[in-house]
Amino acid sequence: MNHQRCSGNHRRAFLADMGMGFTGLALGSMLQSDGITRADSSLSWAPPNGKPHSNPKAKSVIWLFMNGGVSHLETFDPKPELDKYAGKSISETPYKSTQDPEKLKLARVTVVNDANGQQRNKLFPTQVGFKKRGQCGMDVSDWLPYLGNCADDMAIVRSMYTTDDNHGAQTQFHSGRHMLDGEFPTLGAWVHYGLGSLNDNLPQFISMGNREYWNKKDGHYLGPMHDAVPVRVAPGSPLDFGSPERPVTPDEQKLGFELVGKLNSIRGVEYPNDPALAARIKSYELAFRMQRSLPEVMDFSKETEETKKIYGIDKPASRDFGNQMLAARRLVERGVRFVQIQHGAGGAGAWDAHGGLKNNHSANCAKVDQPIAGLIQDLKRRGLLDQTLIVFASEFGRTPGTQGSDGRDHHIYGFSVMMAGGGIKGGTVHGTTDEIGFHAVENRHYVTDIHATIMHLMGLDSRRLEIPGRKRLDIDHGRVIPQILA
Amino acid sequence: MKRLLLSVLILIPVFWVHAVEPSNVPVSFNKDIRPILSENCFSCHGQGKTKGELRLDASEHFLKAGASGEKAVVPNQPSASELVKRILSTEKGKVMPPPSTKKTLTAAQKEILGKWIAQGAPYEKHWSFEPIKAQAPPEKKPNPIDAYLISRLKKEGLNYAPKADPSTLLRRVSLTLTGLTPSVQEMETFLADKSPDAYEKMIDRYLASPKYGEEMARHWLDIVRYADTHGLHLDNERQMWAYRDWVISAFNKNQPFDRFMVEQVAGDLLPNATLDQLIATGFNRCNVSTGEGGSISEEWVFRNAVDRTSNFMEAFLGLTGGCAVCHDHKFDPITAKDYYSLYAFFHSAADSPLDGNQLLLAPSVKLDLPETKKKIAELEVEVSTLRRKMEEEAAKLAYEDPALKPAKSEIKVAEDIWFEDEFPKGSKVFASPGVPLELVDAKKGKVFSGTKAIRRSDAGLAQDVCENMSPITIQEGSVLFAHVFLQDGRLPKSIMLQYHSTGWLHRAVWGDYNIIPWGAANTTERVNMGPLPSAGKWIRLEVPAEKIGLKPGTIVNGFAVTQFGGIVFWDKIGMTGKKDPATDPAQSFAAWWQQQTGRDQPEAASDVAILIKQGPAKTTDKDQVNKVKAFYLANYCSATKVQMKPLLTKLDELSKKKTALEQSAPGTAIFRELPKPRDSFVMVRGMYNKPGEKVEPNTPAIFPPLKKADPKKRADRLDLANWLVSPEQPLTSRVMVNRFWQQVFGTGIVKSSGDLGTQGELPFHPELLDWLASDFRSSGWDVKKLIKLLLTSEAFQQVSTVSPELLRKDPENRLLARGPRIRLDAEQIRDNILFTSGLISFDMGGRGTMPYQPPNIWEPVGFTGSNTRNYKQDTGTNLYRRSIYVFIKRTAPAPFMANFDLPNREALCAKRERSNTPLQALQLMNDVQHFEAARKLGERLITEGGNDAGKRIELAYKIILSRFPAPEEKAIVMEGLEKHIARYKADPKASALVVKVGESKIKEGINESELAAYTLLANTILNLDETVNRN
Repeated sequence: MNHQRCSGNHRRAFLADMGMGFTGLALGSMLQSDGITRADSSLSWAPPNGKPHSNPKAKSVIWLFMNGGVSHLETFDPKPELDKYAGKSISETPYKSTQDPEKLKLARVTVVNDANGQQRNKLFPTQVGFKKRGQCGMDVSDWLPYLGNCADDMAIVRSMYTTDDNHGAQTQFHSGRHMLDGEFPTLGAWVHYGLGSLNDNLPQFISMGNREYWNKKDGHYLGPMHDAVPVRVAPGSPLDFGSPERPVTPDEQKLGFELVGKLNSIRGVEYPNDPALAARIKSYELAFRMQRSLPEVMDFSKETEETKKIYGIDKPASRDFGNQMLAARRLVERGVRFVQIQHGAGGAGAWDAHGGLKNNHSANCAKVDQPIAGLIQDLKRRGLLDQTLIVFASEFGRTPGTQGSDGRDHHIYGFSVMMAGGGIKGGTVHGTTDEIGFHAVENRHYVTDIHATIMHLMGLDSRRLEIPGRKRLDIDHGRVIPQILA
Repeated sequence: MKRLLLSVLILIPVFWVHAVEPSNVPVSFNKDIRPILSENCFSCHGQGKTKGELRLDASEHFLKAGASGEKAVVPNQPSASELVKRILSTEKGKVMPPPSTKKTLTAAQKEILGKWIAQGAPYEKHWSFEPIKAQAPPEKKPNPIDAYLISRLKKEGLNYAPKADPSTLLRRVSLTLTGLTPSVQEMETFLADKSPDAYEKMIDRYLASPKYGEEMARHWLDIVRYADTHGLHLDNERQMWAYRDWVISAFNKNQPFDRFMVEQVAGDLLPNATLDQLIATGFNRCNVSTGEGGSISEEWVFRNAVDRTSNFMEAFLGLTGGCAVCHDHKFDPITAKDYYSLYAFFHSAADSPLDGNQLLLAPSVKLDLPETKKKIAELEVEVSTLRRKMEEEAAKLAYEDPALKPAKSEIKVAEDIWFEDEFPKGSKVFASPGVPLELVDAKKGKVFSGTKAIRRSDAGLAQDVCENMSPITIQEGSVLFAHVFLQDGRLPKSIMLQYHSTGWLHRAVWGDYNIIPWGAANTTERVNMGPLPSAGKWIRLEVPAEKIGLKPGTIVNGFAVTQFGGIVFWDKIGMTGKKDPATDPAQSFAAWWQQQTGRDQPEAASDVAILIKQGPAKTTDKDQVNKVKAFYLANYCSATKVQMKPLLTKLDELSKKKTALEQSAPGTAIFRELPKPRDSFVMVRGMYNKPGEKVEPNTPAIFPPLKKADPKKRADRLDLANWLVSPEQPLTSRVMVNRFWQQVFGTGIVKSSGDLGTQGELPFHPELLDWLASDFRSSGWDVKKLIKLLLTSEAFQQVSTVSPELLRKDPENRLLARGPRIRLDAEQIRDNILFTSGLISFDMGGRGTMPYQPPNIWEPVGFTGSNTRNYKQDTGTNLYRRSIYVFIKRTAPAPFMANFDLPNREALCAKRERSNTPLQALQLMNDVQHFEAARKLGERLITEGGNDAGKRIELAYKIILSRFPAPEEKAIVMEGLEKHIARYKADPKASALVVKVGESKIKEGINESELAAYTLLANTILNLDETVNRN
């Protein structure tokens, strides 16, 4: 930046404080706050300084969410009893007590007498085979052959539960709160709020894939600056308004941003202490750098064919998700803190197999299995798996009983989540459901226990992030699951 | 930068620390004590929860002995007060708050609690529930606002900053009042005006501009959650824009704000309500709604009423009522009973609880557009001409009334059809409750005969009702019938046929006999007809009339088809019975006239209609009888139908044309009451199907009581509206002046402008707020006067620059020792870009417009079958209308507005976020509508700025920022401009791409490369921080 025109102490100090300017891409690990000031009257409170509260095991999270609800019974939690009693009503089996009304009280209903989200009484046999995979001998569905290869890197929590028996549970899994409670910040927003940037050229919280309209925001009371920046894996325009409507040269772009920066800085002299102006100047800098660096992240031309193959990009079924996984790797490689990818558009989510579960899940698994396994494998060989947390989850599982002739309904009482990477003990199976996969029985975990585990591994204490006037409940914070930690 | 920001963050404004005051200063319950109790004690010792039988939220409770027998507070005797003992105790099990709550009191808090009791424990209700105190300002100032602010500043050892320069002030006022920057012409006028009242005159000019209403309305539309779609499920379009336009015009007319509120809450109940007053009630129709199949109507009756009640409370009273939906509010003195008594005012809404995905959901009014009116009038003339002709023709036909024949005619069994494709003429059809009537053809459902059948899907009890049919006499052996088709897989629990004679007391039920609890069981009021008929095929249901208590000679004039759950189709409904031609209205003129006596005949000419209504007994003139007879023969007689057919067909065509025209004319949803109000109850834990104690419409007990216009009648919404604006009401005017203050100064006197209840913040300048609230009310709720008062204060006119010391002391500018500086709102940013470019269209009103938008915003969230699934971008001037007219789709608001914190309009938003994100920067740099505007502005610079580059740069600053550039700025811009010029001269292809962005054409004769360079120059200045701020 040209300081020759400047005069006076104020001016020099202001300009010197104004970040890196537009002259180059600033890489590096500058842990710092997000430049958002929040004046508050509370005496003891200060916003986070961007540093972890404890020694972090992981630097980034890749959050994979399968919209609609994955059947735990056909992925990570095999139940031979389902085959034994297939076609029988639950009340005719030894597991009659699973439907004890007391035990069903967990459900907090949003749509009464909905066509879906009902008790399904007739047991539906497992629709796929399972094999023992890896050194650990973990049971993995035959629809997930590639993930089976990663069994020793994965930890499965088989004893999850939630309370919204409809797809509001998507929001619930992200924020920890039932839809009827209102809107609350999501896990990604908390991580974004709590941790500083590892790369000032990129937004630190990015989302890809399909988010339903009720599930589009993250920051809520933390503010929209903590919403994920939605990015598309399309070379050319990964962001809305991400590039001009016409081809421009990098020089021309730079000139435009630089002029705005210079002129704003001159005015900054009049408002040397205005945090909003400082933040605006910074946001233009980040915008400029994002505009230049995001297309590069989304440009896979320098990736080898072999790498693309690992992600299944060469196959039509797994191409889209494979591209997103590769993009996720490239983002965390460049220091992005939280990459949230939601799979499956249509209705309330592609995995919502009320009918034709076999076709639905075998097809969806084929879309995501190799890409996720590829991601784990690729991160591992690059030495990045240790510092990256991967989570594979969905809003709930699916009923042991049949819906219609060949589907499974929403199921909140027991389902599975898979985690892998930084700080996770691979080859672990934690928690159990009962013999028909109905209720989580041992080591039951509400969704925020996953949040707590992630926060812990990222070195954050969620209680220290609370802001005045927004008291969170114990259940919002969740409890760390020590059994799956390395 | 890091250091600088952090150091700002940890500094605490010094004036907050004045809590510890000398003992001679009186302790205020509201200012000093209530916050401590609210934070630490009310959750166990408040309303609803009274551990140890102790409540600390009101004096009548804490002065009494609790469960321990000790009095928590003994005035003047801290040492005798249990409260003091407990907070000072170190003993486990005794100390308060208990350690398990993780709450602790500081030494200063303990001290002041003691001091308060020592001073006699004076109690006040929560500040905003106390009457507004109108007192004289503390010192003499031309503008009383300054008197209050200065007196406060003096206490802090501060004073006002200097007055801002005229061009800054001009821009500040213009943006505040119209949302737009001043035009160059206005700038020149104002700067040239050296008269002492130049500033005031300038304000008056803006107050008189129609753009003022558009800017003011924007803020109100955030409060009422206005949008152009329903918000849930299909999120189809909803036609309500006339309400939005009404709000704009109300501000422009400077309608007194009390009337503005009354008309929105109860315009429909005003005597001789005008069309405008009906449109205003759209306020209560702005809530999110659903049309999702399988929703339970009863539940949505409840949810809509809750939404409206909560919105009412927050919009007008600044109270968040949400908690009281499920239980007594622990903090605010609003009990569940208070809440549901208020809810009772909104519970009897006449609109269907489910929106049916309809564009215009009844009740609604059609807009009085001159064009449509003219066309309809023309059609009406055609219809009456044709009717005259029909009657002339009919009069010539031979007809012998069977009733007058000497020999008795043959009696035959025949069918009377009440529904076949349509309901009888003149009858009234409605759904109760449930989505509006749906008639389907064979493509969309099942049809038994004719072309259409009734279809209904509901998760609970729902029915289609037909009332006010021409009366039909039950004969000996009459059998009522209806055809029904139950959908396989979606069976109802039961179905029911119901008939009206003198009351709705005749029911026949198939399926679950008890699930519809209407009528006395095992009597003719509810007859069990056995199990549900088979599903998946048409079944004819028959009920002998006598079986349900309809004896021969009884008159039936209404029927209803009812179901509980499932999907049911109904078709061909009627009655078979003996027909004597002498008494059959279709055959006998005399019988027909007898039947129609007393009934209105909207289709007959007015003189004939009077005759029909008065009946044959009172009509003796032969000519008159013949007129009626001609009308009968032309329209209703079965014997003459064949001869009349060609003319009847023509009539049918004309009336269809008229209906189509009326239906296509735009309308707007309004609020109406059901003719018979619903009973309202406290709903236990907020569950729609758990009614508790019955309640009557009333206002919360904490406030001055409701005064009914007619003490004998049930209170109605008009009583509620009058209560709202009554002089005793402590909240309404405080809430409103606080919001206007926020609009002008950036932050309200009460910062939490959506919550003036006990959980909200305390007013920063309580006396000023009360003075303003009382002045506003006594001015006749004159908004323009209030706004002018705010803008003419010295406080508003200060420079907005700030020293580090002042920033440290007052980071949020609550003291106003400097002028307000606020980032522009989403609409203002876009409007200014359009305005400065000259592209803007100032057309007012009408359906929402669809300007440029990036691809794939609507499509991914759109359900199949939604009529807002695909974004259809406008062309021409609609691309450039003001942003208040941009179509708001709730599930996918326009990204160029959402990026700048436009709320999603699902719930009330009293205060917008002002975020600062890189996506905003990218938008301002790259969005096609911004870049196109920059191109048109570039054109203006070239054509209006003369030939000198320096002059053109000056013009750019004048247009966008209402000032001249500093030499330093001019030099930087010039340097950039020269680089752009050099680049585009050398690269005509690149120039051509720049000047083709957007739909508008380039002015002829402009050099493309020069235009490209000026486009980028304009784009730069449009991106400046100063441009997107009100400085």
